[in-house]
Amino acid sequence: MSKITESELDTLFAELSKLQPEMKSIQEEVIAVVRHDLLKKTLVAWIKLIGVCFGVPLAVMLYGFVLYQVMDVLSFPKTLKVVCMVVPMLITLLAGARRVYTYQI
Amino acid sequence: MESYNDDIELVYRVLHNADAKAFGTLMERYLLKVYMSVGRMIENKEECKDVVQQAFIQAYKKLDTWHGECFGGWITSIARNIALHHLRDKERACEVAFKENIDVLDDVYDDEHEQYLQQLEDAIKLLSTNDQQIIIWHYYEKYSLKEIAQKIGESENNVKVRIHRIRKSLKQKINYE
Repeated sequence: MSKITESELDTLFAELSKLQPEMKSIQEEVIAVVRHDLLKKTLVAWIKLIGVCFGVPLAVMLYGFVLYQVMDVLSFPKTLKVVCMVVPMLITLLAGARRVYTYQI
Repeated sequence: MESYNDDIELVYRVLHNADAKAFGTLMERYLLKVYMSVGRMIENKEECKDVVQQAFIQAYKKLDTWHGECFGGWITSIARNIALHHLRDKERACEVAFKENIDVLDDVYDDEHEQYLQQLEDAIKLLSTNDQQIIIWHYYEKYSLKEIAQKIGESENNVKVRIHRIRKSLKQKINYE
């Protein structure tokens, strides 16, 4: 590439200056879209997290309640009752902890 | 290399920290390059602007598919594809017309000129904040030397000397790149 002269530098400045408003407006519009999308993603992520935190324990409680009622009526052995109650709860607890630990948008 | 690592860092920040500013920085870095590239294909200023906007929005949406290659090349190829679709939509994609279009615009923005513009923009970004401000006032906002002198509280002559010095340093940066 040849060396740039004073007049070429002036031309470049003039062109850059002409392009500036255009660049600025493109950037502003794109960033507005990006901000809006990121905000939406953040909200969805939070809603999902809250859903997991409250929804899963609720489901487990419901499961436990129904299971307890069924086992009570059918008079299952105690060990089986404990296994059926504890194992799903442990799995849910671990899944929930993992979800919180790996939380990202 | 530093710029490449920066790109990775910026993309990471957008994807994992929901950082819109990081995407803004990426845009600042590659906007001119993409604009010029699209400008070669689409003559109309408004259409060109729309295509560039779409390209950046699409790039943002596809950001998780970026595999760490040259970000400028990646986004330029997205923009070129959108520009081609745009031309096809307008029934201007017949080979002859398209070729003519490129030829005409190539006269305006040849590779060397485009490179100079990009280098000048990059060189301005490397200046100190004060020097950048002087350049913006003088060349972009067309302030007179007297007005700049009043703003920074220096004499007109000092401003003149500073602009001369800045120009010299910009020229050196462009010529040595």
